[in-house]
Amino acid sequence: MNIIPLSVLDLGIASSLVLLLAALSWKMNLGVQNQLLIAAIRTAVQLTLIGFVLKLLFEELDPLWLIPIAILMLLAAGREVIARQDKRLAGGFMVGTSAMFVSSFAITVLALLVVVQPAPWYQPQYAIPLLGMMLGNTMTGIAVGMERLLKTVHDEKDTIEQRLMLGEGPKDALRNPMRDASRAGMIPIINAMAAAGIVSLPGMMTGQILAGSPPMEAVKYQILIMFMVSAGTGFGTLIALKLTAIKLFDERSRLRLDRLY
Amino acid sequence: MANLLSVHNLRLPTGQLISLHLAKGEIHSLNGPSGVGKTRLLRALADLDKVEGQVRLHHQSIGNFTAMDWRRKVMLVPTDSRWWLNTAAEHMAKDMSAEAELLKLSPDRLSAPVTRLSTGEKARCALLRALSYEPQVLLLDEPTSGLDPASALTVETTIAHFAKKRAVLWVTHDELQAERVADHRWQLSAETLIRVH
Repeated sequence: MNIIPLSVLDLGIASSLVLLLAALSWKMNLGVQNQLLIAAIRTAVQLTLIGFVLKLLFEELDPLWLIPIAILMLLAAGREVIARQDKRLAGGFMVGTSAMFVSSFAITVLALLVVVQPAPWYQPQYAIPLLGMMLGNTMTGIAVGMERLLKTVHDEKDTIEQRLMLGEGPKDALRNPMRDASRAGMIPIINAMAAAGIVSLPGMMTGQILAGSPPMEAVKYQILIMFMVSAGTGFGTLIALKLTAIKLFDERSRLRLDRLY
Repeated sequence: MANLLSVHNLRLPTGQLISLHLAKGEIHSLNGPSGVGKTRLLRALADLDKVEGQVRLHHQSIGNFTAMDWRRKVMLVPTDSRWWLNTAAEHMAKDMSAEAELLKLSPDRLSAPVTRLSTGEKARCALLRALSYEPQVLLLDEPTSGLDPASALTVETTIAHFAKKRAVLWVTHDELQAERVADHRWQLSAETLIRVH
């Protein structure tokens, strides 16, 4: 494979574009320049660190190290889900994290065991990037879905309670907010699949091609990832919303907005 | 008359200890200053808020009913109605055209989009919606607020008609209305609930 190595200068040129955008934001009083710069710095630092970790893991460490790294990734994703909520649910960290755990881990393991089949199946070079892709996308779906559900329930409290007053159960009373939230969580990944290859070349495939992989191999991996990510995001979002809905009502089917903060 | 709904030592979130009994065929009015806990009491009776105390329907404790079953039998009609389907009729458990006419509401209003109904029409539709489920106890939270005097009188007559088969607890700020409609009148203060008539 012909890899053209990137120098620090190359990355510096790319970063100058982000600096330019931050300057424009400052000039136009948009107020996003700090967030933009912090996010850019986080990208550089976090990716560099994970680069070192992966290098170590692939070349020197026992594959057992996969376990704490996977747990760390999961907890970080759980924290991100909560950080993105305007209205937060008591116990929401557990809801988001367990939904991500079930969907991301199950589908990653399935992909490793049945589809990719590296030897051994948990080989970090495959397991970590696949899990990372899964968690990253599932996290977004869950965060968007939960955010939408909690906001709608907060805003539509009277409607939900009036449905309860007519003797409807939580499932019926929450039908519309649940449908909206499920769609909100899943639409981005559905759009991404629909636009893949026509409007956009997905990041992973682009990366592989830039790194010298044959295009057809990159495409096959990309399709695999797209399907996995869609399933993971969809199942994860539905699980998280179901768990959230359970927590929004008590044993007498009363709407418990006091559990939001 | 046999008690339909019995409330014993119910502690409201606002602090008062409530005991009252509603019999079939009776209308009870409930008055009191704003914020004193009238709506809280109705919500507690409809099992929408968790409170301490005993509530019984036909001598059966609230715990013997599922929450959904209880709310269909002890139904709260709030002041501001909300709608989630296109027409009022779609929200109702059965055809309410005949009852609509009692409320001087043309039956075609029930099949008009809810967004085109006036405040007064929505208030009457909300009452019809509740009645369509045939509750045994009606908890009304200012059902005539926002209605003109003539419509308010129509609503009063209609509720009196439907109260023959059920018990009604009616929150109103209107003393004259309470005198017109209620068999028994209650006053909720910051300290307690007292029967004034």
